[in-house]
Amino acid sequence: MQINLLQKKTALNIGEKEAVELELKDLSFAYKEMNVLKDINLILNEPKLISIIGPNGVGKSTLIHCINKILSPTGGCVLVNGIDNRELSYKNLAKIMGYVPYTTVNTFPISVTDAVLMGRHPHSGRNITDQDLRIVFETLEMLEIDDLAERSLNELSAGQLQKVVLAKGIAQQPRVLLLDEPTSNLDIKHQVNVTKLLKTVSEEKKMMVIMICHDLNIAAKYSDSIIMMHDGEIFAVGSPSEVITPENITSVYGISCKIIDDFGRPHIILGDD
Amino acid sequence: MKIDDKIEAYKKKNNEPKPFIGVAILATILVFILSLSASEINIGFFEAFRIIYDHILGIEPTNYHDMIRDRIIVEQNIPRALGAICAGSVLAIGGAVLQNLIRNPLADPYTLGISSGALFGMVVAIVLGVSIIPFLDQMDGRIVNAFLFALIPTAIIVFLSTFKKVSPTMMILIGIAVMYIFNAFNTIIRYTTDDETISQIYQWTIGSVSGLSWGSIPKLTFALIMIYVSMYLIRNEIDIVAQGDHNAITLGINPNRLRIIALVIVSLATAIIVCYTGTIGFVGLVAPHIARRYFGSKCRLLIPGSAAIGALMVLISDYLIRIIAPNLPVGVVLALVCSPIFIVILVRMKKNVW
Repeated sequence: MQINLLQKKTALNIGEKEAVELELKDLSFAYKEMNVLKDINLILNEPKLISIIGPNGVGKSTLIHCINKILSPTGGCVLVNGIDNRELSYKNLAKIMGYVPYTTVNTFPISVTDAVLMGRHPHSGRNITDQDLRIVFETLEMLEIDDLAERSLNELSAGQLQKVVLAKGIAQQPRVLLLDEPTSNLDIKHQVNVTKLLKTVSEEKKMMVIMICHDLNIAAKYSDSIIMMHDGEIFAVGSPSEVITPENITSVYGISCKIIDDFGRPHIILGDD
Repeated sequence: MKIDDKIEAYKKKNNEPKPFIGVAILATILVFILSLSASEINIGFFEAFRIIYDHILGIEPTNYHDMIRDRIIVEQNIPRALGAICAGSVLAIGGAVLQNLIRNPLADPYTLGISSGALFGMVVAIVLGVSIIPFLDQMDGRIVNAFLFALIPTAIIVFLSTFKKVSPTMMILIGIAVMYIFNAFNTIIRYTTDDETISQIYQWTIGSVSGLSWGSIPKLTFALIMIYVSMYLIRNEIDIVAQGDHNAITLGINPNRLRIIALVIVSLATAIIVCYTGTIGFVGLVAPHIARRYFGSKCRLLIPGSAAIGALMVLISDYLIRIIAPNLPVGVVLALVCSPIFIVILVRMKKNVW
């Protein structure tokens, strides 16, 4: 992790409705000897729901961490509207990019409202306004967890906690929202609801939503496009029906399967061998 | 419930007075008043007020009896109690902030090696007569020495986290290791110096507020105001870092930078306290936990709450010393009286606070 005490950062002003373009340019990342990401080139510039799929340990979380500056790439760069994200301060980046992590730290718990209110920090800082509170309570209602508002984070189930973290990301109102397995702890009903909600958010708020997803059928049913990763590289990018094919699944996951057509969306039936 | 009502309810809940802070502050004032007359010689409770009243009005004591009492109350008891309040609050605020920033309930200026570092810096100044910055008077020289040595654990943590990833738990372990190193150095110095210096150093190693005079109050007050104001200003950022470094980065805060800033300020405030009172353990660790029990872990309430409880703890301990066993160090009584209370609070806790 870098410590920049004095370095000046470039300012980045992106208007409400203006499109954000993310460009990954020869992006590589290595932990010690191990190359996790290898020369990734990708341009994302539409407010859509984008799913990243691929087996465990393939570099999906690392890719997201390079985009939001939690990790600094060992090669190449991530450009946000043409500006290297390392030139942007954390604060500037936080105004346009939100993140919903997979795990949450829970050492000293606070209330659900206060946790979601943190999402407003990049915009309001110390001065919390009524507008910030309104956004927080609207988000809680949207995710159907407004009855938990007064509860403390350590009293919640894993699924409820995941929704709180998601609410924080949405309340941040970024232009790009990155999510690391946002539905992993949810039951099937809430998985579907949350994924639908993310799709609605991306359409209504013109937000680019990029999520790591392990449920291929959910990714296929709701995503606008899918990025399939394999061994630190991008194996395929495109619409669900272009990416989710029996051949791709077999090459990347090493399992056989059948794909059936569900109103234009692929649906996977796992094979026997 | 409509959203407007929820907003109003949230604001109302946030702004409503917290009785427990009031109780802690009232209790501190009460013990402060009680402690005015507490000393080795017998001073009546109301006699103490008369003497202070006379002193304020500038009425010279007419007899030896009153003169001694005037001296004890004005020159010893008042600064001693004020010093106890400052020391307790500073250490408690330091503990509360470090626990949140390092996300470890065991963090405080003592377990991070800051207190031991400050003590070592001061011992170096006393024994070797060496001040790192020349041309300062004796006390300032000691404070600067103490501060610079108190920065060593911070510097090690910062150095390691620049080149390697250091987890919050590792920071505590590094701090404890540094604390042992400094304690070893302190012991070595004590073995190599003469008896008079040893007894001088001993006062500081055990931690005591008994020797405080009016001369120490300005700097102790400065330490309290500095740590309180600066930590209160960055309270939101501390709360966000308490919920994880990734959380902080993606909300626009550099967690390492915030930790460095806080560690430097806590080191300076702790160094000033240590130079006058020596190392007082326990209060920095326990006072924040009692505060969390009643105010939660948000810094807006945690900082004033910890300060009030820390001040009360040290003040009560010192009061008990004065009326029961005048020669005991304050740290011993703190541990004896407050540990059982702390355990009871922990056991009676309904939900897990951490």
